[in-house]
Amino acid sequence: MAAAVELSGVTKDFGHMKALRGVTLSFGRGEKTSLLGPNGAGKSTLLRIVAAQMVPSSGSVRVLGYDAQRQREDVKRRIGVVGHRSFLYDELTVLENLRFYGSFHGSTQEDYDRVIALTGLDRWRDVKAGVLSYGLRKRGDISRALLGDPDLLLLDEFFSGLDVETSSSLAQHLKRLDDKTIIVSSHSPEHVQSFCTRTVYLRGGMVERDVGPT
Amino acid sequence: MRTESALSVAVRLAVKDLTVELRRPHELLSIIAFTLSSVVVSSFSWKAVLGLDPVVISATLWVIVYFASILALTTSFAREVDRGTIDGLRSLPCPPYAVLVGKMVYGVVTLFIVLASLLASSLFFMNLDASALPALLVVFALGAVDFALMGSIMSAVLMYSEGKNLLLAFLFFPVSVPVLLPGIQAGAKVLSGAGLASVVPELRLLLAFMLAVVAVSVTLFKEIFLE
Repeated sequence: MAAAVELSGVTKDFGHMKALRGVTLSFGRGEKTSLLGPNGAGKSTLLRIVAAQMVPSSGSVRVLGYDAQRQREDVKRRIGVVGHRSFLYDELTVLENLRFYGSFHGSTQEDYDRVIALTGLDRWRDVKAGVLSYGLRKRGDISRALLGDPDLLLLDEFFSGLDVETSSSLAQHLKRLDDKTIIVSSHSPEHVQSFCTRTVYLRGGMVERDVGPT
Repeated sequence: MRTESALSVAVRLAVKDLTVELRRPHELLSIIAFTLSSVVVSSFSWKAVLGLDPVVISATLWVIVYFASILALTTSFAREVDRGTIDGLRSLPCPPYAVLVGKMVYGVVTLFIVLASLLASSLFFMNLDASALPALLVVFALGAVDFALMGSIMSAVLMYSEGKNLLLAFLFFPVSVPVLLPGIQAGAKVLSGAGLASVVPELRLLLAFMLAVVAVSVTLFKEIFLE
């Protein structure tokens, strides 16, 4: 079976700064991978390129069989992204936020109910996102990312700023998503190890170590 | 994506922006307050010093629309960046230009709200001739659309800049001149009693500028939007 994500010789320069230096990686379908590394290692840049939100300086990226640069909309339709900052609008309720983002995936009320139930947000569905705690907001972001039933989830610094209890709870939620390919970036390995089977260490824009099944 | 669906995406984005805006109405209300107070102060001043000359009234109304546009449009993309939701927009499976058109539609609706309050208050405080209102509405509506389109793309260009509000205020002026000059002339003619037919050349200029801004914006926006 073709890999979910294939990066070949990917570089990204920001002026003189090289964020990625010839990264070649492959992520299998259904595989759950943690991207670890210090600040500036290139984790977020890598995820943004895979998410078709950023154009690489060179190299090629294929996501779920699509060229991430030429077929951006096809890629975006099939992936879910959670950034280190929330994509939810403070003034809209959880459900309104889901309806807004879901409208781009043809989601139905049934889909909203399903993702809300999956992330345990039933009690907060009609609460404005601006008043949610950080942890609840993260759950809202996962709900949003799951709309359209994506095959690939990209989670950037997903556990940053969360307490141990919330992190464990969210890790359990992610563990239940058996059929999804997940790539999650993190500074620290504690929470990602509970559901990831592979770990890629990035440093200075290069793959330092790749430990795991693929 | 077909044109229809790109338009429906743009409308959805604009509705989202308007809903967000109306739930935190202080910004829109402050722009309307600025508009109303400017009309009142101007009407007192011009009446005492110059009388209600059509050129002066037209210029005054355009200056108010110009500053209201700056106030309304600086936040268009900057707010998305400040809140982190710009990456949410980038994650949407739609062409980048649909996002820009959505912001433009939002800008147009916002400026039309401002325009409604401006012309309504001007009728009362500047004793505008009510029969001139339809033609005046056409002239100012075209100008407001021009400002909304221009402000949206400039807000996108400057969204990551330090001091973007200040930069927009400075950069908005030179690109506004092609709107302000024919707009002021057309406004003055209409206020002098001339009909809409007499301002067709000015309207053509406003329309041509609008098309040019749309063409440049749609071409450039992808490079601006995708990092």
